[in-house]
Amino acid sequence: MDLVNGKVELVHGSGGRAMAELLQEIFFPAFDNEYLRQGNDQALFPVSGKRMVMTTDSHVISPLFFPGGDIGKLAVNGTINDIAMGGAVPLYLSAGFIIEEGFPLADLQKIAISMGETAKNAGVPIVTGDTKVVEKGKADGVFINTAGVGMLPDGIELSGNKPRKGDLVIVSGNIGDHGIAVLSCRKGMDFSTNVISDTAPLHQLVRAMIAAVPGKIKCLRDPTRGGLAAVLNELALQAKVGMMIKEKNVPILPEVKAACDFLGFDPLNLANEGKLVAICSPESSDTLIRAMHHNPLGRQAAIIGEIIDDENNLVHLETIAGGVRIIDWLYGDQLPRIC
Amino acid sequence: MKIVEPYQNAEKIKIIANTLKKEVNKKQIYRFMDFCGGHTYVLAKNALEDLIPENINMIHGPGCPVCILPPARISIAIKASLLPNTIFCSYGDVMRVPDASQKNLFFAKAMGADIRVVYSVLDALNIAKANPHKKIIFMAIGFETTIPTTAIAISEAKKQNINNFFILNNHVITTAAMNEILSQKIPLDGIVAPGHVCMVTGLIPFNDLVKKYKKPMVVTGFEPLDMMMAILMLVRQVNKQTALLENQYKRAISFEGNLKAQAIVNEIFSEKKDFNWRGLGILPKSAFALNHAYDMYNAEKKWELSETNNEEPKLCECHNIIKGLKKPSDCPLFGKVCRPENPIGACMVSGEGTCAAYYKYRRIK
Repeated sequence: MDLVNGKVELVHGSGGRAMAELLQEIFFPAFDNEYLRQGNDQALFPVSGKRMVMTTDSHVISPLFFPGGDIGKLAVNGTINDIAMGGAVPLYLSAGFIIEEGFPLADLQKIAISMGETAKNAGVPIVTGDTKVVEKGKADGVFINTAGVGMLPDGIELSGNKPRKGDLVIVSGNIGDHGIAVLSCRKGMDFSTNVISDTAPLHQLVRAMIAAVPGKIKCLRDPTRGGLAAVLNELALQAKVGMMIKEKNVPILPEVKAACDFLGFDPLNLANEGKLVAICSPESSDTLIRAMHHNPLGRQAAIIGEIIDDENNLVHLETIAGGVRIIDWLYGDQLPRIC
Repeated sequence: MKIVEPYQNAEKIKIIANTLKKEVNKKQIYRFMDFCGGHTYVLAKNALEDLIPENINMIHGPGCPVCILPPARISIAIKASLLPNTIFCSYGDVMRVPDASQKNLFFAKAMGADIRVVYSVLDALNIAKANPHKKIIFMAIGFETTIPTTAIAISEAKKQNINNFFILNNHVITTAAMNEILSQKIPLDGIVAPGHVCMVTGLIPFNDLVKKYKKPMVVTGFEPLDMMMAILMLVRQVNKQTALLENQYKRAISFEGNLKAQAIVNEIFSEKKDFNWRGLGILPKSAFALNHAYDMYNAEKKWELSETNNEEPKLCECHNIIKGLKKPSDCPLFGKVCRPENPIGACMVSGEGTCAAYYKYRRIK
């Protein structure tokens, strides 16, 4: 990274390797502390003898409304999920708005109502907020930041450095729905599909999972931007292990697969907003899968692979055809290929 | 989905793999070129090379329209995108191709250019209609697969009197590059030819090459089973010592090709004297030029865009890799300085380039 003459490019925000470089070279050294160094999606710290977690997430999605959701629903669920992935119970949210001059009030109200309903249904209220308006052209409609806090019950210790050889990799359902739903209505794309975003709060599913196999889940992650590929690679690096994933076991809707074939996208790189990846000891996996299947958000849960030893920390994929390739971590956004 | 699913069937693929194992002559090395980047991608994404016998070497050819764009064409695109009051439209995978000074269209975007990634030239034409006070320049690239739609867009622009639509033309001719590869006495026992190109051109231009160079060729599609069947058909030809053009992709290709598409292309484009291919150099009659009657759509003429610095990076082995003379791992830059996020040479720039496919799917082999 060229810190003298370089400029921020879109790729630095796309959740891939470029963003990891940006964090490593700019933010981690500048903010360095023991909580940040945990390297998880949420920070864990002690507060009067209890353990609290905190996380924050900014949402800049275009278009603001898409099949199955909108930016507001995404902002609430995204932050709830980041807290839930630490095993914590989400308690309170904040919401900050950066609004472009000229943005329709009706749309703003629609987004606010959607956020309120999502938060209410999840049982995690939005208790504080902030609003700023910038000149026309200085933002794209509306940007929303949410932050959240939660408490981590005693005895729960989830972390990306815990997976060991033989542990199983589980995904909670069909992957890629959100990515395809949003792409289908993005300006200049306009292909028609029945796929809707999977955006959903996962804290109840997580609670049921932890209750079903106490102490046996090593870690949880939500494969949002960067998709399943990015999450698996992050975990392999953090735990210093490799993975062997079976392509035929990865649940994907036929419509999502068809759209990917047509666009030249890999579903493993598509964003999800209501899915999680769990790594679990092998002896508890059947119990865990059964518990997940009982929850509406885990109905399609499947064991997709296992942790292996690999000094290069690569994620391998046994293809449907029967060969083995690696699953790479995208540097930036997927770009449609032309032929 | 229903059309392609049978061609992704794991059982059928295994049957072909087992047949291949039985039929190959173990004492012989089979060197086959998958000419098209789409085929390289199919091989790598499905890890098909794990399924074929070790004495079949797949050599990945130069058939990726993004990879073969030389640095000067990118410099011109950057200049065009930065013209005032312009919306520059491009297919996504052109965005990261570097020019001689390692700048790309993302750089132009960060400099303030309005660059839109489109899926089709017709999207660019719609942008032109919606923005009559801006000039819309479309980065037209591709082999015979994409040129008919560019021709249709120009024809529509003329019919509908859309005067703010222009193209930066980089359309190239598949058989010219194939002819170059075959003429260089590179050790090759057969070629997997691109099905989608033949859908447009028909089989005649490819059959001419088979006759001229006496090399077996199989035209095939882009699903894993298509690829495996094409390899088996080539093995059988080599074993029988025949050199024929065979069509594995009969579900999509007719002998004469798409006559309507050929007619509209011939109306608007004609063969260009030569074109400079990244990695291959200047090849005669290897690209399409806009006919003079359509000069008003030619962005390069309109704004006198030109660029002379066409220097390709030193140490880069792309020119040998696309001829199958070297593997990506033989290149000193591969995976070190030259990575998908910072592509130095032709084969790393598009997802369908040989080096990019190796880096993404088989870095460890």
